Amino acid sequence: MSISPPSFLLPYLEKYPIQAGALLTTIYDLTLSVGWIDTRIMELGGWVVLIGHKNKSDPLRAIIPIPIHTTCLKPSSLKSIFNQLKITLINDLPKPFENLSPTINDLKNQIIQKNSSQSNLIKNDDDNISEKQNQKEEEEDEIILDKETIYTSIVTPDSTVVYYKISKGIKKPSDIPDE
Amino acid sequence: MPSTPSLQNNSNNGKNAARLRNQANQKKYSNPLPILINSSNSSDKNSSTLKSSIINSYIPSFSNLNKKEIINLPNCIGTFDNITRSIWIEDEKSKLILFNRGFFGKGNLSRSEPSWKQRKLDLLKGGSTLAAEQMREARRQARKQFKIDRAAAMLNAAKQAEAILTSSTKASTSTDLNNFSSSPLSQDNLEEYIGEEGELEIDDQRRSNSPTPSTSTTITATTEDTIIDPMKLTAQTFLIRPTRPDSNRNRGKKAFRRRPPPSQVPLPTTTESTSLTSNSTAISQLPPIVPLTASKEEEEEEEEEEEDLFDESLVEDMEHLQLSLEEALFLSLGLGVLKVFDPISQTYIPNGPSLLSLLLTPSTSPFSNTLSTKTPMLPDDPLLVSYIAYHHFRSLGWVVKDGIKFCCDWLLYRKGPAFSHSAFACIVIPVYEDLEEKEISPYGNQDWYEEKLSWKWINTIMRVNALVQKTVIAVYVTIPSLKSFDSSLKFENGYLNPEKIDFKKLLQRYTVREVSLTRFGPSRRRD
Repeated sequence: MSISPPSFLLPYLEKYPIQAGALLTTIYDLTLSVGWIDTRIMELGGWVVLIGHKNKSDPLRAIIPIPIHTTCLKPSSLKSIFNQLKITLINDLPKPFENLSPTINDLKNQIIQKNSSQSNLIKNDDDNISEKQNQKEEEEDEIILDKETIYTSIVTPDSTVVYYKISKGIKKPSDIPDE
Repeated sequence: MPSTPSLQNNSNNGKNAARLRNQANQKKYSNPLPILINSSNSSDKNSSTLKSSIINSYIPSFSNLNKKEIINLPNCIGTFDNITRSIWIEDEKSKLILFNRGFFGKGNLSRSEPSWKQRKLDLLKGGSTLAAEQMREARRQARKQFKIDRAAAMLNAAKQAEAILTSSTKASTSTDLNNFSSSPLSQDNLEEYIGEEGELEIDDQRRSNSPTPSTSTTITATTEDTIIDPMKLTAQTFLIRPTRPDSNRNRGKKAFRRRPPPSQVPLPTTTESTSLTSNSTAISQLPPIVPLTASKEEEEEEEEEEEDLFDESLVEDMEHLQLSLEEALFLSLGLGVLKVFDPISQTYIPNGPSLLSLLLTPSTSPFSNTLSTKTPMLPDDPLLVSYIAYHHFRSLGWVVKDGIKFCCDWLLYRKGPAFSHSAFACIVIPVYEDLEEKEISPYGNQDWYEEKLSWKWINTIMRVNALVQKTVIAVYVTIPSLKSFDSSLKFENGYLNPEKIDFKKLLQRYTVREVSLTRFGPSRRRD
């Protein structure tokens, strides 16, 4: 992986210098390590946010990347972000950006194409998976945008990312944390 | 029937596996620093010179007689990234040297050791994912069940207490009806309790290895044996706290040894990953249930066949080892094993003042920062202050890692993250020698200095770390005043000139004092 960031990110990195490092690290962490899909970048309330979800069945959620040493995210900023999120419709969201690295399914397809004669086992598994996926897509075409919570990702220079969930008002934490 | 190996069923196997893993780790991470010191005249004959090297280590003068002490300085290369303000190590050899000898850096897509490619390969191969997810689901269910049990236990205990209280007052007075009617809450509780107990019983039958004893039976035992004084009744009298599924039952004697994730597949959730995590080594594939053994062996065979066909280069490694600026400073200016490449000027930066000024906190936005040796330096630069603490503890032999997960600045490990949890959490508190300079300085009144002197902050940190059994250490770093530096070392505007100051002498002007903090409650009489 080269050290220069992907080209679609550059305008955001320039426009939001405080969030630049955090944005870059968070994008890599979310898309490659945590495994978020349909991730897109958006600007909300003067801050750049990432919107996406881990599974197709989860609602789309917003993440604000922040570096560790900053106090710029004041309550007023949070308020404006929430307000703008409230009025955002799903159709207004920009398109997800391209994958930074092939997904597991892409790679599995690649393997199948390479070893078409020997891989009976892999093929069977993959058929099952692709069938399931098709069913899922047919069932859950509606994607919801979660407007009540936003996440912040706090990034340190050694690339540790810590995620926090911010809800409006006092909310009891749910027993099972969401991914 | 649970299909995941549990500690109780697998205790011997688990202990063996843990010991083997520990031995493997001892070997892998045996060098505390990237520098190797060989007291033999050729590095090939390591085994034959074992005896002589033992003698040499006890009587160093012998080594100087015949053989030269060779200090092996590896050459590691890293690239400076201005956006994330860190050094990226992409060369495979450097990655291994820096992480294995001293735990420097962190894989940017992993929790510590760069293992992203291996994890992805394992996911591709198929088998391991299911095991990991099954285990995670099982633990989640256990935790959820524990919470339901706990709520039920508390309700139950409160109900018991109420019952005893009302029955005792019934005996003494004749106004029992009043008591009953005056506590409508207890009626509601009764209904809830019945509902909960009904659930509890069903759940008890469903679960085969429940983490808690059935609360109803144990409570009746208590009432039969002991004499309950109604006057001293509280909601907690009958409470038997259910134990958490993941808790350490040794109560600190064998403090939680964190099983290091096998180099292939670390669990993505909590750090309390015990032997349940290992799902890629052969040892772990011994399931406790016999019928599964046959099918798992078949799976293993299938996986091996797949491995033969598998082209590992299919997955491009997107991960690099990332060093924070303090680690990079230590490795380059301190030890001299790291060379930093600057992508903007496309040159390797010599280890000296130019490197230092590149890494100092910039005063303007990152994109307009150009390589210039004239970057002014302030003694209270946050990077320098934080580096002093890092350098201090590294020199004493601790492995120092970033502490954001525990709300502190640095975590200290005795041997490294792979061996045990960190015992100490350090917070760096800057102390100005000259308070006037604090007012003038651009960093003096920023929150990351101001708040560190407040009790509210320290209390928060103490609470967080008390829960994870870490001792908080307040590290007071005294910042020398600008005035104390000779004017020849400064620019015209009064800032220090990095070119004219010797780094070692600069570090010597700071002082470090450590104070360990523990919480004291006078009513508890604990040391």
